[in-house]
Parts: sequence; C-alpha cells; structure tokens
Amino acid sequence: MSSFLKFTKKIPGTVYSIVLLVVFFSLVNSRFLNPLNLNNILKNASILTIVAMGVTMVMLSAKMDLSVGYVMSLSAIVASMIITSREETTIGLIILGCLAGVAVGVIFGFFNGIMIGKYKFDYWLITFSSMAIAQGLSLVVSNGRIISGYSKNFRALADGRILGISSIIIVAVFICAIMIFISTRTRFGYAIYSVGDSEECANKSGINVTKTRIWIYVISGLMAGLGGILLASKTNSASSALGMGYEFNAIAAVVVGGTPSEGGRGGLLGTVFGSIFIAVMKSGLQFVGLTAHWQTLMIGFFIMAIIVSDVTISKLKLKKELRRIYKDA
Amino acid sequence: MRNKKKMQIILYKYSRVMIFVLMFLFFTFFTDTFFSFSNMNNIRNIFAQQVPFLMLLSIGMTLAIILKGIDLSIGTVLALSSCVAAMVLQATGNSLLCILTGLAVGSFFGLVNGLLISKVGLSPYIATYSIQWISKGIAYVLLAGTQIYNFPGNFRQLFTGWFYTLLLIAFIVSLIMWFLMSKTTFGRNVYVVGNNSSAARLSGVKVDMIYIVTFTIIGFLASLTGLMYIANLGAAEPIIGDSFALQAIAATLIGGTSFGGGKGSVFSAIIGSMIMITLTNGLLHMGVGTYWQQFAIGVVIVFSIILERGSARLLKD
Amino acid sequence: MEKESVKETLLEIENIRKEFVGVLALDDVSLSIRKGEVHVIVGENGAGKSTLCKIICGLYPKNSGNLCFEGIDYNPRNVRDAQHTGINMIHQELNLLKHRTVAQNIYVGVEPISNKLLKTINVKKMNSDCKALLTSLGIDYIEPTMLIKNLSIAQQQMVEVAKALSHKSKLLIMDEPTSSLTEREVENLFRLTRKLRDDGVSVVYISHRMNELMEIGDRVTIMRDGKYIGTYNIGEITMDEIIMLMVGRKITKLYNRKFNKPGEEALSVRNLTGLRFRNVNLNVRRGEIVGIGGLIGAGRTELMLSIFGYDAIESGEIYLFGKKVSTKGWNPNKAIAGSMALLPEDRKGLGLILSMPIKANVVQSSLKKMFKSGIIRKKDENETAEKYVRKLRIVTPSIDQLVENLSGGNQQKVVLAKWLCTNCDLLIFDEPTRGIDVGAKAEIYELMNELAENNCAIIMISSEINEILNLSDRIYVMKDGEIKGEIDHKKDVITQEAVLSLAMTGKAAVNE
Repeated sequence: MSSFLKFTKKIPGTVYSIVLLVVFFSLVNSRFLNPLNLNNILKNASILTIVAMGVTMVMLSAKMDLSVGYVMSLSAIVASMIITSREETTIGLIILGCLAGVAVGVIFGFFNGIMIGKYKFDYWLITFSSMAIAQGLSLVVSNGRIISGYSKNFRALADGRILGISSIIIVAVFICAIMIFISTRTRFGYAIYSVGDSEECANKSGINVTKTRIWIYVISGLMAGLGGILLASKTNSASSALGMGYEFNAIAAVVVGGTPSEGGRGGLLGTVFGSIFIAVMKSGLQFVGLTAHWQTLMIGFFIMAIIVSDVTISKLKLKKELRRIYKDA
Repeated sequence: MRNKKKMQIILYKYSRVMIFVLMFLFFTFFTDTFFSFSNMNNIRNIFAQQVPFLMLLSIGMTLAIILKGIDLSIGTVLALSSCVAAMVLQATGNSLLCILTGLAVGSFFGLVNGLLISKVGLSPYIATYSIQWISKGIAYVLLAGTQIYNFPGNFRQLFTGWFYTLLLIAFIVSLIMWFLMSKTTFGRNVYVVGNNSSAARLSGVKVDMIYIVTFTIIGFLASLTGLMYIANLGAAEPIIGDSFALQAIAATLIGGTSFGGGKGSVFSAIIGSMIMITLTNGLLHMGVGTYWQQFAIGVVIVFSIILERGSARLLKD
Repeated sequence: MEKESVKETLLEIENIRKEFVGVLALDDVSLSIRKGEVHVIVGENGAGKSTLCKIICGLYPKNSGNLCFEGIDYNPRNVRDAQHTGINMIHQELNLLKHRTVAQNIYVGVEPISNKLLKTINVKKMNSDCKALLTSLGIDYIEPTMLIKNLSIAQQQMVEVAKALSHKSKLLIMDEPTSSLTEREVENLFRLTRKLRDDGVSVVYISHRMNELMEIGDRVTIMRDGKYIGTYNIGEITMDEIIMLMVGRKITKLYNRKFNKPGEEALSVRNLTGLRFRNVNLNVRRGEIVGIGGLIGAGRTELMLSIFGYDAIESGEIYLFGKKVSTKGWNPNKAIAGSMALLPEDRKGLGLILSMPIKANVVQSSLKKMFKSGIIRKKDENETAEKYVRKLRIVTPSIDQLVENLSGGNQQKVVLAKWLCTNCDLLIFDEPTRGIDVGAKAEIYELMNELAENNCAIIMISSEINEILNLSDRIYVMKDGEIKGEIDHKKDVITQEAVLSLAMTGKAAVNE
C-alpha cells in the first residue's frame, strides 16, 4: 500500500489533467472515447512528443528553438522527394530518403548550435531566422507543391501495426525511452541541466558549455527531422506548411509537462504527458464541434494562458525562495 | 594607422547607404527591366506601392528592437485590423469609421503586447508570438475563409487618389517618429530602457509605461499600414500579413539597428526597408523565383547580425 | 629558517600582468607558494587578490608573465586544465546549481560513471561518496539528496567547500570562504584547512579579516592596488603593520571627516519588512553620515533598494522629511520626487547606462524637471553636463564620451552627478568606493563630506571596515535581515571589534 502511495506521488500532475479532459470530452460527445479516435490522439501525440523531446532539452538549457516547425517541413520534403523520385520505391531508397531528411535536421541544429553556443548570438533571433530559412528552402525545394503518393512501405513507418498498436506509437516510445535515459542517466544529460541552471557555474566546474549547447541543438534538429519524416508518412503528404505551428505546440507541451522556460529543472518524461495533453485538447475541440478556424484560435488562447500562468507561477516561486533563505540563514 | 581606422569607421557609418547604391546599380546593369531612364515604371511602383508599407512596419519594428524586444505579431495584427476595418466599411460604408476602427484594433493589440511584456513579464518573443496566433485566429474566424472586396465609398480614393499618397503618408509618419525618438524625453527614455531597464527604473523612468506606450504605437503603425495596404490592393483577407513580420525584422536589422537593444534610428529603418525592397524586387527581375524570397530574407537577417558583430569589434578598439 | 628550507616551492608566480578594459587589475605581481603552507593574501577590495587567483585556476587569461607549477610551465586554458594539474578554488560568490541536489553539485562534470562508453552515471556511488565526504567535513546534517535551493546560505557555502575538497588538490585556493559562515562552521573549516596542510596540500587563503589570518596563516602576502607589496612570516609581523601596508600611508589623509551638528530628521523608517529584511527601524538626520555595516548577504542592499522603492515593501512605515509616504505603490520615481537618491552597489548594472554618453547619464533623472514640455533642448543638456563634469572633476575628453570607457572612479562620479542634478537632499551610497582606486576614493569621501556639510543626509552601506569606522556619525549593524545594534561615535568609541561582533554574532562585543 505504501509503495502504491509512493507511486502515485511520482505521477505528474499533468496525468490527472489528462484524465479530467478525457472525461469531460467524452461526456460532451460519447464518440470521443471510441478506440479509433484514441489511437489517433496517441498517433498525433507521438509526433509531437518526438519533436518536443528536442525542444525540452533546449529549454532545460535555458534557451529556445523556434526553428523546429519548418525544419520538420523541410526534412519531410527532402525525404519525400528522394522517396518518390523513382517509379519503384525500394527499401534502400526509403532509407536514403530518411537519412537525408534527418541530415537536414542535423544541419539546421548544428547551425543553430554553432551560432548560439560558440558565437553567442541571441538564440531567439538565430532560431527565428533559421525558421525563415527552412521555410524558404522548403518552398524552393518543393516548388510550392504538395508532394504525395508514397509507397506502402514508407507509409508503414507511421501507419503500420505491430501487435495491434500503430507503429508510430512504438517508434515514439522507443525514442522517448532513449532520450529520457540520456537526460537522466548520463553525464551529457547532467550537463544539460547544469548549463541551464547556471551557465557560469557549469563553466567554473569545468563543463564544456559550448560543446554541450551545440549537441543540444543538434539533437533538437535531429528530432525535428525525424518528426517531419514521420508526419509525412502519417499524413501521406509533405508541403512547406506541414510542420507549421509545431514549434508553438511543442513549447506548450514542454511547459505543460513541467519544464519552465528559465531552464535547469523539469524533465523529458513530463513532456510526454504534456504532448498527450495537447493532443487530447486538440481532438476534443474537434469533437465539441468547433470549426478549424475556431480550433486554431482556441489553441492559441489556451497556450498563451499556459505560458502566462507558467511565468506568473515561477515569479511567485522565486519570491518565496528569496524569503526562505533569509528566514533560516 | 589612425587614419585608416577613421576611414574604416566612416566606411562603416555609410555602409548601409553603400549597400543600397551598389545593389541598385547591380540590378540596373544586370537586368533590363529593373531600372532604366527610359522606363521608370518599375522604380515608381517600388517607391509608391512597396516601400511605404515596409517603411512604416520597419519603423515599428525598430521601436521594438530598440527596447530589446521584437514584435512578431506585426503582420497578423496588420491583417486583423484591416479585416475588421473592411468589415466595418462594408457594413456602414463610412470611411472615417472604418479607419478609426482599424487603428483602434491595431492599437489595442499593441497595448496587449505591451501589457504582457511589462506587467506579466513575458519575453517579447513569446508574448508577440502568442498574439500572432491569436490575432490570426480571430481574423480567420471573423472572415470564415472569405475575402472582402468592392469597398464602398471613397475609402480607396483617400489613399490612392494621387499616385504618391502612400509615400507621402509614410514620409510624414517617419518625420513624426524621427522627432519623437530623437528630440523628446519619451524617445530618450525608450533608448535608456532598451539599454538597461533596471538602471532606467532606478533613475525614475516608468519602465512599464514606456513598454506599453511603445508597443501601442507599434500596433497603431501596423494597423495604419494595413489600411493603406487594403486600400491599395482593393481587398482584405486574413492571409495578407503573413510574411510582413519577417521582412520588417530583416529590414530593421540590415538598416543597422542593433539587436542588442538601445541603438537604432528611424533613418536606419528607412534605408533598411529600401534595401529589402530593392533586393526582393531585383531578384524577381533577375528571374529568381518568388519562393527564394523567404530564404533570402532569412539569410539577410543572419548576415546583418554577423555584420553588426564585426562592426562592434571595429568600433570598440 | 631551517624548517622553511625543507619546504620547496609549489607554484611560482612571475611578473603577472592583467588588464581589464581600461583598468589595470594586476601590475607585475610575483610571489611563490610553498608546498604544505597556508598562504594568506590580504588587501583591500580591488587590490587584485581575486583576479590573481582566478588566473591561477584558469578562469581568466593573463596578459603577460609566467606561472610555474612544480617546476613546469603552467598555462591553464580553462578550469579543467587547472583541475587536472591539481588546483581547485572555492569561489567568493556562491556558485551552485539551485535546482540540483547536493551530490549533483559536488560532482558536477566529474560524476562517477559505471559505463565508460555511454558515460552512464553511477548514482548510488555518487551519493554514498558524497555522504562520506560530508561526514568527514563534519556537516553530515546536509544530505546528498537535498536540493541546494532548500539550504541556507551558510550551508550552501559549506557545499561549495565540500565541492572543492572532493577533488584531489595540490593547491587549494579559498576566496573569502568564511564571509557568511557561522562560528561553528568556521572552526570546522579551519580544522580541515590545517589537516590539509599537514597532508602536504598548499592552501591560498584570501581574507580581509585580520584575526582569521593570524589564526590560520603560515605566511602572509600583502597586495595593494594590483601591486605586490610584500610577503612575511606570520609571527614576524604585527597586525598593525599589515594594516599599514594594506592601506598605504595615506590612511590619515584619506578620511577627513568633519562632524556636523545634525539637523532635522530626513528619513525615518519604522518596522519595515520586506523579502530579505524585517522590522527595521532607523533614522537619518540632515548633516549626518549614517553607516550600515554587516556581512555580505545581511540584507543591507535589499533594505535600501526597498526604501528607494525599487523592491517591494511588505509592511512598515517610511517618513521622508517628516511626511509619511504611502508604502503601497512606492517606486523610485516617487522617491526621486521626494528628493531621495541612490548610488547602487552594482554601478554598471543599476547605476549607469553604459553605452550612452556622459551627458545623457547626467540629465537622466532630471529629464522631467528640466524639460517640462517633453522636448529635449540640446543646449541645456550640454551646459548642465559641462557644469557637473567641472564640479566633480570628472576626467574625460568630452561630455560625449560613452560612460563605459570611463574608469571606475569617474563612473561613480557620473552617478553622483546624475543625482546632484536632481537637487536631492538624502543620498544613499551603497559600497561607494568598490573597485575604485585610492585617488578617486579620497575624492569621493571629500564629496560626501561636502554634501554632509551642505545639510544633506547620507546613508552609506560599506563592507570596508576602515571606511565605515572613519566616516560615520552613527553605524547600524545588520545581520540576517535585522538591525542588531546601533553605535554612535559620540557615545561610544566605534571600533572594528564592536562592528564585527554585531555583524557576525548579532551580539555586542563583551569588552566594549
């Protein structure tokens, strides 16, 4: 029993909110609970989680990455163009396409990392301009078209089923497990937290801050690349608008998952639940009967409310901490 | 040695004008259609119908960047306020009411940005990025996927009656903004807050007020641009503002406003917007596809901050 | 003599020079650290002690000179290099990861790993190692899994000590490690220091507390204004001689305070409570200089920022020139209108707009008063700036010079000019001479004297004991956010012991 209590303590608060949301939406519309929809929610959450993993690492290190959305588009387009380049799609071609797509993400991450970690440029501006560059390139490469018509093999990446579970969910669980392991159990993971907590302290303790930052952005780019390919496989299309807004949703998922923007605390596990939360929310708004435009607006309001409360709460907490130190000093 | 240094500093000071001139000459020589004395049409169009919009938006963006901030919502606020204005115009046919509503909507969203940044304490990026999504969302919901055209009354006539009306408006607004920023205590305080907001507060500057007023001005400028834009275009739809924020940022930075805050001027916004328009228009005449534009804008931003970093080193020692 | 010849040299420092933008921090410093000694370095603030140590441990690059460790050239590029060589440092400022545990902080960057390839961390080993370390330091009431943010400042300082000791050191540098420790922990630290010395580790110990140096040191090096003054064996030099060498011969001329008859009450604070201070009562009269003494972190700066309206006030009352002010919505703007001024400790961060010219800084707080229409008249601005540059003897080529290019002393004068321009009557100086050379110091003191004579009221926070002893009419001493006592120069003789005793223990000295 006590171990059970201990276990419940470990469950993040987000889980309860997810349960509440699901209950609410299923009361409004009973079709919300049908297995097809739940599976669809998890599939959406999977892609968001993968992208948000990278964004979490960036935010843990007290920076931000706005470029992930359009990097997803670009990597999806590059991968799709390679995959659809021949009449007959071989497995080799798919692998080549995926590698190229991932490479696009890594290149963008590396660019962000070098500019921010090594040359200390403002991270907002750098990731914002790489977002613009990625968007521009995705228009150029695709020539503004929507690419579609993949082979079955490629679509199986996201749509296939293994033991009755969508393959994309399994892929996401696998990636999340690796990323969580890295962040909580390795020196690199510890360094991410240290750099985000206090860059000065990390530096004085002998951590190579520059290298750590570059790696963090490379991982973020890598995750965006993977996310883009999987999204293309899931939606059966790729265009420059494919990943639009994903950075916004990812930031929200991270914040809901308990990693505030000032860095140094929180974790990747929370982000998993944060992503599910966002996915439930989005699907729920559909089931409540809102039009697509209203959904965008509501999500925008909602995410802003989350961010505002995050900032306000951390302000209050900071005040409390200041007071505490003085009391028992 | 010292003379060489002085030369370098002077060169840097006028580098933006030189970039503009060189770019202009380049496109004149390498394209047939960009500019020639026998065919002034393209240039006239650029200055009468493209530069004014970007100029006003860049002045707004310059204000935000001087405050160590940014306004990512400038494009969508422009779109929303012009959509609302167009709806009012269609419903009432009253041009004055339409203009007033448009300006009010823009100023309101600017005010909200200012409040979020100063009172709530959000980073300007997050605050204006959220407002970007929200204002876009509202515009889409209001128009529900339609477009408004065939404006009644003399609305279009007001802005486009004379070929250079738009340029004239932009010029007058620039003059007012130049005066405000360089001659008044308000302008001085904006620079001070941008340089060091804590020191500003300790010296008695009402920092929150500066943020709120400045972002309201930015919102106002955005909506004014929006009105001019739909009057020129003859139609309003939510999609019009999408790439404006990015263009305005690029223009501001290439014009020489420092991203570190506290530095920048109305003049650099003007020269920056002329550089950007020349570049995008020139590329078009070179036969480079429109899809490259976005890419070029991104590269320009990165290029300008690297240029600024280099110049900071030059000016320091 | 025989005993010393046994001890060989561990680190030879030769002709080190270090310049920060415009400021010469170290000027041709040479000294040698022997194996197994506790080498104390003393000097006033800004003497270059910390800079020297930061060069040794790889945080700053030197401009010229040589370092020689165990007979080999030693050129650390970063902290890692220094750590590999066996040099570790306890920093003066707390440098910990707030949201991480004690163990994670102590082993940051060098966590014990269980798999070389993946570099996975052996958490169990890390925590048990940490426990053992903390026990050996006699601070086992701190658990390895506690979060740093939940510890008190003194406990955090001990974690910092433990972090430095967790590395195998040949040379351990301690930069004022006792600044916020309680007596018991200080004793513990000294016990450990002696043990380390007996094990053959050299310790460089920076302090400006005289009694500490006599208790712990083997040899003492004195520095002044970035220069090396001399090295002596403890026991062959008296405390008075050390102080003489530290401050130089100008000591009597430096503080030339004429005490005035105090006038009407300028500020009175009753039961003021804020985030970092509580129930503060104090008052200042015109013509007085009131010193606020105490250790770093006692809440002095926070108190003054709150009185000035920069930080929030939770409860209590403020009377300014006899009139009660409303503490709700109290802000710097209103304080300035009430003829207050504050020269902050963090001059560059809070006092000045560094990348703006002198003239803009001088008129900054008087914009509203000078230009009622809201339009700036260049002529007035220039004239005002010229006037104050002359009056305060600010050394600069022109009033268009950017403030960031001025020396510390001239920067402080610009801050002062800004406030004099507002015609203020009550000035709060927070560490007025930190990072300022001796010449400018004397000028600042002279200006403060002059202001007091001209019927201004002055509050001065200072950690420099000589400054506060010699300038103040009265001294309030703060500890843990409370005022622990008041010493009046007329009633009591103000002594160093009286102030330090209040500051450290909160009780008046026994032999007062």
